[in-house]
Amino acid sequence: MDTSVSPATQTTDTQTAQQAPKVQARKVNVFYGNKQALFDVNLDIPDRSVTSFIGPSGCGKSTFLRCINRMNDTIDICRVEGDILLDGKDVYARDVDPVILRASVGMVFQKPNPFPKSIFDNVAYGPRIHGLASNPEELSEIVETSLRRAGLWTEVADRLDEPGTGLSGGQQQRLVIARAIAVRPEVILMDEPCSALDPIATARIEELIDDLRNNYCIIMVTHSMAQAARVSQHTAFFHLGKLVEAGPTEQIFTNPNDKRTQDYITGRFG
Amino acid sequence: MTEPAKPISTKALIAASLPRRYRAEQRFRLYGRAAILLAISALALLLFSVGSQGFTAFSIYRFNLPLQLDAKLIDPKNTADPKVIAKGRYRKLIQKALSDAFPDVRSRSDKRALYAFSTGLNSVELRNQVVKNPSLIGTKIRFTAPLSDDLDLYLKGKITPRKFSKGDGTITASVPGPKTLALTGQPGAFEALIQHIRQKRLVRAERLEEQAEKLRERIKGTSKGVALVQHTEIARLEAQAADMRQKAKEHTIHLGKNDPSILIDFNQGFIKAAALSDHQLSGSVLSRPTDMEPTQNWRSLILDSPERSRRVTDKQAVWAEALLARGHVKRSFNSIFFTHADSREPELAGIAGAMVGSVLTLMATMLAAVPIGILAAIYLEEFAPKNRLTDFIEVNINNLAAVPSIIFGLLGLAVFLNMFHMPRSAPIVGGLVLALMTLPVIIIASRAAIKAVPPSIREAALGIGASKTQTVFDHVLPLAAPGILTGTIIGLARALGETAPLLMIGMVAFIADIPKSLTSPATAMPVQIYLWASSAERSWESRTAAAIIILLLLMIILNLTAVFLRHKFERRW
Amino acid sequence: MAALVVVMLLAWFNGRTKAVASAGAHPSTLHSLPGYSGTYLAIWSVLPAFILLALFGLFGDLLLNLQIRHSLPADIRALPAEQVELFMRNARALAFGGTASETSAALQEAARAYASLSRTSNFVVIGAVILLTIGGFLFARGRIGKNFRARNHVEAVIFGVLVVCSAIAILTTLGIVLSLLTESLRFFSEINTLDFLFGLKWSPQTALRADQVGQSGSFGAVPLFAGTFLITFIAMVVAAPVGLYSAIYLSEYAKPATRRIVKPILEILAGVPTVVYGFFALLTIGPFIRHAAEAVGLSAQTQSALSAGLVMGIMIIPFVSSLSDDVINAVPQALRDGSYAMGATQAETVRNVVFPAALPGIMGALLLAISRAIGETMIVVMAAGQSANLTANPLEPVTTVTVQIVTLLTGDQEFDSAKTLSAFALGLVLFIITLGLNIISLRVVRKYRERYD
Repeated sequence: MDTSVSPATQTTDTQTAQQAPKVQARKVNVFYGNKQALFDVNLDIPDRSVTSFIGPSGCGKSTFLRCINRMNDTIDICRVEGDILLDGKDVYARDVDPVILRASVGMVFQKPNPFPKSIFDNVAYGPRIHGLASNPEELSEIVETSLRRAGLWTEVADRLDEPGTGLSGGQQQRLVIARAIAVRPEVILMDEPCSALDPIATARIEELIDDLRNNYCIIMVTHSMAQAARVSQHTAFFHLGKLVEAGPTEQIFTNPNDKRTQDYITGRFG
Repeated sequence: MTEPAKPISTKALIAASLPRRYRAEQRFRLYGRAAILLAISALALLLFSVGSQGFTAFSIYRFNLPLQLDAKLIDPKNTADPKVIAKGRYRKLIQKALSDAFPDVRSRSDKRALYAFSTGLNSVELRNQVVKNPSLIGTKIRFTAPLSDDLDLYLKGKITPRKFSKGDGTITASVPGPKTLALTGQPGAFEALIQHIRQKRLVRAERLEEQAEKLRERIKGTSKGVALVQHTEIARLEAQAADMRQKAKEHTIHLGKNDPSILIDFNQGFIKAAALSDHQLSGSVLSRPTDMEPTQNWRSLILDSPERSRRVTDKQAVWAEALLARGHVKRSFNSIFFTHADSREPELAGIAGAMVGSVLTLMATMLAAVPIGILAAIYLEEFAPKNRLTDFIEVNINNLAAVPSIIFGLLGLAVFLNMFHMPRSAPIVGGLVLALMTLPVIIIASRAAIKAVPPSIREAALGIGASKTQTVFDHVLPLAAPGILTGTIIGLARALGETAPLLMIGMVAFIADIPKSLTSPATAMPVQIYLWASSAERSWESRTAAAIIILLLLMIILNLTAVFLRHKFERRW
Repeated sequence: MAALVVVMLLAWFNGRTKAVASAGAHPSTLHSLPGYSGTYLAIWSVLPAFILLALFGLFGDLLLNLQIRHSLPADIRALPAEQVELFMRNARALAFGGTASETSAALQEAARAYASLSRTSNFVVIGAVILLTIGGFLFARGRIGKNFRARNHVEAVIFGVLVVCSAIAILTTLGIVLSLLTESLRFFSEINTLDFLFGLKWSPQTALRADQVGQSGSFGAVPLFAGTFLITFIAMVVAAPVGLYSAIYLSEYAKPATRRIVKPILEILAGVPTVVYGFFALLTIGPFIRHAAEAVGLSAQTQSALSAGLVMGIMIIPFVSSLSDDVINAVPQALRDGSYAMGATQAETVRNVVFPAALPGIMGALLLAISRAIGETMIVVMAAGQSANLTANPLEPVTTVTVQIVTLLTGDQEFDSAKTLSAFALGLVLFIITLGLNIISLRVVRKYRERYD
């Protein structure tokens, strides 16, 4: 695959990206009504790598993920305090438009959610609403590139006008990833992307994630520690709304600093 | 790949598209708001137009006059036989009472106009009074009855507004002829009146010119023959308009048949102005003043619509004003409307017959639909095996719920009336037809209520050895009762407002009695509304609207009851 | 009737007492509660008699009629059907103390026969009822005993009643289909079906007397269909966008508080009786349209397709909006999230994701609304006019299928004339169209629900 198309490659110099974190969280507190869901989260997430959030259910990892592209805006009672910086810029700043933010921070959900449209239209959805293609040829090119990159092209090339809902679960999830790639994001958020899939489909998605990390900053919430260990380079452990520990995956899994991390990883709770 | 992707381009492209997209967003939101606003304002307009028209029908002008129950006209031979008394000439008595109130009304046509104050049917009321109490004969009573509907409308200002204004300064009267009177006031005493007439004339001239203009527009492209006719018409209109403009400039205004009526109240009499200038006015006497002394207490009454285009003449208007001033006509609560059945005369028509008819009909509906509906729901929800028959029943019920109501009317006509020879116009038939119509609603609501009872209740009852039937009737049904009741009330409320099927089975007949049983001829409230709405006379309008107000109130009460029950007994399992 | 109730109560107490007695000193050894024995006895004493009475009430008259008809002199039986019908009606009237429109010896004879037959049959039925009551009572009483499973028997009866009640739904449909079909078939035996369906002229005034054979009226229903569809079209032009946009706004944009207020208001719109809408159209919208049209130089009448259509549209708004609201709410949140996560605005999400996802359900809702509009009667009767114009001009009065059914059947007329029968033919067409729409839309909506459940 020709990497020159990747916007991410072009956006930042590879060297600097290694040093400056792509996403930074500073004292992030999140409330649902009166209930606090996240407490003072501080975290740096590097570019061009996969970062996993692990932790027991209800620990706030999904909530934090949804702060990064401001998906929490759609929930009326949700309130976010603190700063989340993308490339050093606060995404909650007043002049940041959630539309632009979400275009550059893509998201993949737990359950594959292709739109009730054709495969082509699913992938073309983003480019169309954002006006990224000036003519039909350009559009089909974006669609093809995205599908190729999501590893789905060979499977669907001859049935692009069939409904996206007709694909298998694993294919649907890759279609959704292709849909996210099509608007050339810099960051891709994945909220337990494999929890609704069978092992074979999971393996394919994991491969795909590994592929994609060369071009994107990928942040993934997962329930499976094995998956976190397999796929991610960095891992952050959340517990009861607090970020307990974060660091290179190897270190977290082999030599955690915190007792709670240790307990969780060894299966004492969770 | 070919695309020379510039790094900023994605963000820039999106940013560039944003203003357009947010405008679209605003527009979309606006459409939504506009749609809701439209729907709500339609409702508001409907309620307002009904409310404002119906409001006036809740009060009515009644006249009360001293009436001599002259034995000569009732029972001349003094037989005291009720049959004879019942045949007395009561109409004549009422007419006499009216002409006694205006002794100077002499001519035949004037008398006829005066007698029109009371509908002939009022004599029935008087007769009933006398028959019930024959000792009244020969005495003087005070007879109260509703004023005829046109006069009632006039006094309510619905025929044309009654514009009174207090006069300026003293006026003196002189009598140039037997039925005419000339009034002289201080300079400018009649100036306001003159201005009013002038303005009306100019408006009329403008309207004529507009008509002519419209005709001129339409002439283009018509054939020559037609155009010729139209040209004559245009010329006529324009001549009239010019004449009007000319007349508006007159120094002394001579009132014509297209002008408003100007009536001057002078010493308890009324003079209709025929010609007026700055401080002089002459006209005919409509009702005689008590004296001819100069007075400061005079007023003018302007009736804008010309006399020939309204149903109440100037004389009638003046008499009505006089009766009102003397306290012989009073506005009071329209109790007739709530106690009488339909009548040919608007002032004697009431909604009571239709209300009783509706109640009887709903009773029949309830007796038939509620038990059957609930039992059917129990069967379908609790006992029915899942097979094609029950599927078929289910599809049937859903479809019946959406069949046009008039079809049920046809069914009632063909089956109940023509096959079983049940009585026409009877509440029992109406009730049965509406029952068939409401049945699906009740079944669907009851099934939902039964389904909402958790299985644990059933298991508990079955577990202690109750039979299936006992379980359902003793345990499930009481718990489902509030839901069933709510659905039933909503179904009945809908039945209450239904018209079309009742038309089919003859409940549309004119019925002047309050129905007494399920088989006596009756009509129902919505049908009564339909009947009145199709009547031509103006006074039916307000009565129709008033009937609608009552119907809506009843429906709101029913629905609120349903809402209340739902809230009170709502239980989440 | 009252006698039957008394018998029922007596039987209940008797059965109860007997059951208790049979158990002797140990009531608990009874198979069923004594009350069930009482009910059992009551049912057996009353139900058969009641069924007989009901049957007689429903069909006795019919049988009587047939019987008399057969005994009529041959010359009368040879008359045309309408006249025989008239004869029978007069005979009935005479027999039961009413007034007939004519009298003749044959009529007197028939009336006498009618009256005597009616008397005899009444006696027979009353006798049979008494016998059945006593027989049922004795039979059931004999069976009550200690081990008698009264409850099971009573429950079987209850079960039977339940089945009968649910069958009423089928019976109603059957009744509708049969009554419409039989009358329509009679109509189509006089009027060519094709002329009815495709004829362009509707003037159902038929001859009043039988000898005026020449004027049989013309029954071309096309103007009625055209009027119906014109009004339905106008109504949908109003109701579809307003209803849909309201539903979208309420389900996607409105705050819960707004929703709580606006939804009931829209439901009030649905609860207003149609006759009220008719009045509104006639007195407010109609004159308004006429004035507005005159102001721009068009001629319009107070009764017009436009005013009926507009008001009907208002009536249907809540119908469309609440059905679409349900449908839109059933679209899974995941789809919306997916779209928002792509950076779509709310409007784009609704338009490109939610709306297409809800489309089948919305189509179903619109079809139901159309069927409602086609079958609506009072608004059009009051506001659309009665003249059978074949026009596409919404400012002219048109007439509809339902209006004609009402005008044909509310007035005094012979039941068998082609004029009245044509109402049933129209009713049949109306029933078929609305039934078709209903079935399709119910199926579509149900399919749609299943997809997202």
